[in-house]
Order: sequence, then structure tokens, then C-alpha cells
Amino acid sequence: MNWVDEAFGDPEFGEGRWYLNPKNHSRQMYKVKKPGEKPAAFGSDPEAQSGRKMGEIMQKRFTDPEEFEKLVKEANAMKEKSPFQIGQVIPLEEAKRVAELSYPVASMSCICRIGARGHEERNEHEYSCTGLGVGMLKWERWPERYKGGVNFMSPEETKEWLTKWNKKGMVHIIMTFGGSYVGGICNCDYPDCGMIRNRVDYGITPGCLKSPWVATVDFDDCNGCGVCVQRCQFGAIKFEVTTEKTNVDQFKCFGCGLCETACPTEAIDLLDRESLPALKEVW
Amino acid sequence: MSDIYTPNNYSFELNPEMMSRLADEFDAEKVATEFAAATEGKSADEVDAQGKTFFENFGKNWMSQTLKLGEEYPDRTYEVLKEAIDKTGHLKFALLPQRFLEIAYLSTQEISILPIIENNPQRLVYRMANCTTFQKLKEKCGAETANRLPCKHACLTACQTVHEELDIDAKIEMTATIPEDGHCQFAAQRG
Amino acid sequence: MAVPNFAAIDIDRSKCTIPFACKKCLTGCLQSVFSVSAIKVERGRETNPNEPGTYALHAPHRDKCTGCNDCIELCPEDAITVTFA
Repeated sequence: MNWVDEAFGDPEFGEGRWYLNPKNHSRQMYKVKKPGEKPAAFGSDPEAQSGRKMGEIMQKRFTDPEEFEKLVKEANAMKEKSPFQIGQVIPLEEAKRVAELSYPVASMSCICRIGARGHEERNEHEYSCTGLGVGMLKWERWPERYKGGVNFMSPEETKEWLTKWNKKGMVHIIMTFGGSYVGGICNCDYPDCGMIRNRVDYGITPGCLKSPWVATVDFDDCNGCGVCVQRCQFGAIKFEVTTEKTNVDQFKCFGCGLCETACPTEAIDLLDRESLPALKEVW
Repeated sequence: MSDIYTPNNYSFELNPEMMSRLADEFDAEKVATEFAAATEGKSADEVDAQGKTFFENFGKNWMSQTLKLGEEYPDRTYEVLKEAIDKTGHLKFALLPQRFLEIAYLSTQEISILPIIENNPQRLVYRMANCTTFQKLKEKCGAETANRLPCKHACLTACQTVHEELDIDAKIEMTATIPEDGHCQFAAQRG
Repeated sequence: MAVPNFAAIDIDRSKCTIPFACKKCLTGCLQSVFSVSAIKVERGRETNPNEPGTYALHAPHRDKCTGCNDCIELCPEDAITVTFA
């Protein structure tokens, strides 16, 4: 169990699976404003505030590296009081279960890829991110965030859509938007995903926690084809020349399951992180 | 969107005129006063029996009028919801009843949001803590009558009515009460 | 600890006016050093990437710059300068 579970989980919906707790997917549709209260300004949402705060920390790399290290440690230790968005890698099968818990679900363009690569996604065939929950009904307030549109999907369509991006090689990350409220399933890769990059390059953990799973390889079943090596976004898998087999470094593994879904001989399985004494506290 | 560079002027908020019309018609003080007058000097059993009829009737009117005005005064959030329902063939439960229940409570209670505990294809669960109707009943009829929660029939009937009128099969339950839990909670479970 | 010898990347915004529409450095950088963001945002309307001055280019990951100078060659406006101390 990680700190997100301790704060927001409920064993009734799965030990260590806070993101399957329906409470974390529920929110009101309307808020009655006090007289004279203006609509929220662009950039006042938890996502933007988290981004700005992260930007301030990242700037310290150039001006005060020691301070940067200190701030990163602090941010990682703040846990549920963290001002940053919580993100956690989850495998495809669990992302599909989320598709049945969140209403509505809409595909939309990825804000990270816009920023990092100027990558535009202009229609439902290109959208690679998903927004979850009733906030999506108000997407038109900020077209800039959604780049021209969203595509509402049924739970079945969402599952097919997640499978499509899994096939392409994207990691599913469940994202919160204010507290424990789950507002999206991102489909991510390195380096254009801000959350993966912050974790892998700079050791910033809250936005990209590891999944409650860890990949393992059955050497008897592995034919050494190396398909899984190309799929890993975290540099956890390598092809071992001596044995002619794939090897997973379970300390580096984020438990996304991309290797597992692509393995042609079903040699890769996902183990429960809790079952590995050295890894059960590694998030 | 025909021209994405021209600002849209959508309002995603509930229409204030609709809200004040509902607030006037279903004012908690007025209801509590009427109920106090109707039950003055009656025994607890009589109050219970009368409470059921009185508040069921109130709950039905309250939700029927909410459904009517909610259609008369649409907002962009609602329009997008309807488009999304048409597009996906899903979302009707829990999101349509959720909208009208939010209107019903937000217009008649002193709250800025209605806490939604669950809203997914199986369940809609919501909560009322600082309930104005309960407070007014306490003032007008005394704590003893208020704590018997005659008003629960209004909330239960409103929830029943919204699902019936929207042609949604759902089982309605009350899963917490203010005297015992500090808040009332209602759950609609898809049939 | 001294400040490491990171690349200093200067972007001349008088020359780089439509970075989101151009995006040559964004897509061409091996290390994904650059990013683009809207600096003129209005509620309820899309920011036009072709309107000069609506988007700005940054180099948030200049600590990952190796000094290969590919971006300088890719930039059609000669707006980028990369220097190491």
C-alpha cells in the first residue's frame, strides 16, 4: 500500500487500488457562485497551479542546484499534502476498469505533447489523452487546453481506445486534479510526457508513481525476440546477449505492463508489488 | 466549432432566474411553518403518518417543478451532456438525475455544491449535511419532531420522481441520516 | 556545489514569433530541450498558432542540451543561440 492508498483508498474496492475507489471519481456538476463572484480565471485550476509550482522548482536547477535537490526531496515527502498533481502508472487491464467507473470519459489532445513537441491532435483519431468526469462537460471554457475538441466515449469505446494506445506503446497514467479526484488517464511516453520525464530525469515522484505491479520474465517461455525491449519507456528491460533472453530490472520497472501486452510467447507476467519484499515500499 | 478563434459566450452555470423561482416556491421556512401548523398537538404516530403524506407530496412537486424549469432554463453544461448522451448511448444514469437533483438542492439549500459521493453507471450517491429544511423543522416543530425526519420523505420522493420521470430504473435508498450520522445520504442503484 | 556548465540557450522572440506553427526545433531536438506555450489565452476561444506573438518558445530542459547545434541549423529565422561557458 502506498501513501495515496492510505489517504484515499478503500480495501472494499481493492487493496492498494485507490484509483478503483468510486469516491475518487465523483464530483458535482455545478457550483453556485456567491453574488459578484467571477468565473475562475484560466490557470487557476489545480493542474495549472501544480504546473507553475513545479516550474519554480525546476528553475532552481540552473540557479541553485543544492536548493533544487532539497525542494525535490521535500516535494516527494509531502505525500497527500503535496500541492502537485498525483499520477500513478497503471496497466491496461486496470485502466479498462477505470473506464467503467468514471462518467463521462472523453478523448482529447495531450497537453504535454503540445508543449514538448508542438504535436497537434485535431480529431478523435489523433487525440491521445482522456479527460474523466463531469468537468469534461465544460471543456469549451478552455479550448486552448483541449485544442479544438473532445470526443465523448462509451465505456466500451474507451476500452478499445485504451487498447489502441497500448498497442502503439503508450504508458497509462492515472492523474488527479485537486485532492484525490481522478480527472484523466494519460497515455504517455518519454520524453514528451512531463510526468515521466520529471520522474526519470529528475527523481520527482508524485506525478508518476509506480504501479502496484512489477514485470517478471519466465526464461523458459522467452524466445529472445526483444519486442518488449522497444516497449519499455523506463529503461528497465534489456536484451541479455549471453542468455539470449530478455531481462527486467525490477527495481527500475514501473509496472505499466507494456512488455506483457506485447510478448508473443506470454513469457512476461505482472507480479503484485506487495509480494516482493524488496519492492513493496518502492513507489 | 465553426470558428475556433471567435470567443464563445456560453454559460455553464445554472440560470439565476430559475434558481430564485425554485427558491421562492419551495422555501424551507414556509414548508416547516405549514407542517408545524398541520401537526400542532398531534401524537408522534400521527406526525409520522402526516409527515409521510405531506413531504411525499412536497417532494413530488419540488422535483416535478425542478424538471420543468430545468428544461426551460438550459445551460451549456446541460447541452453538452445531452450531446454526449446522444453520442455515446450512455451517461443518462447517473448524470441526468444528478443534474436535476443538484438544481433541486442548490436552489433551496444554503450550499454552494451538492456533495456527490458516487456517480457512475451503477450508482448515484449524494449527501446533505447542513440541511435548511431540517433546521427550520427544528425551529418550528421542535427537535423531537425534526429528529424523526419527516422531511426524509421529501428527499426520497424527489429522488424517486426524478428517476421515474426520466424513465430510469433505479432502487432508491437512504443510507445515512442527520440525527445518526450528521448528514443525510441517498443512493440510487441501477436496477 | 557549483552551478554546472549547462548550455545557455537564447531565443530571440523578435525573430521567433510563431513557434507552435513552425515547431522545427521542437520536433528536431534529440534531447527534447524545447517547449512551447500559449502566452495569449482568452476564455472560450482558441489561441491562433499563426498569429505572431501568441505562443512563446522556451528551453526548459537546457540541462539536457549536448551542444549538437541541430536546432540552430533547423531554425528558419536564426533565432536560437546556444553557448557553453
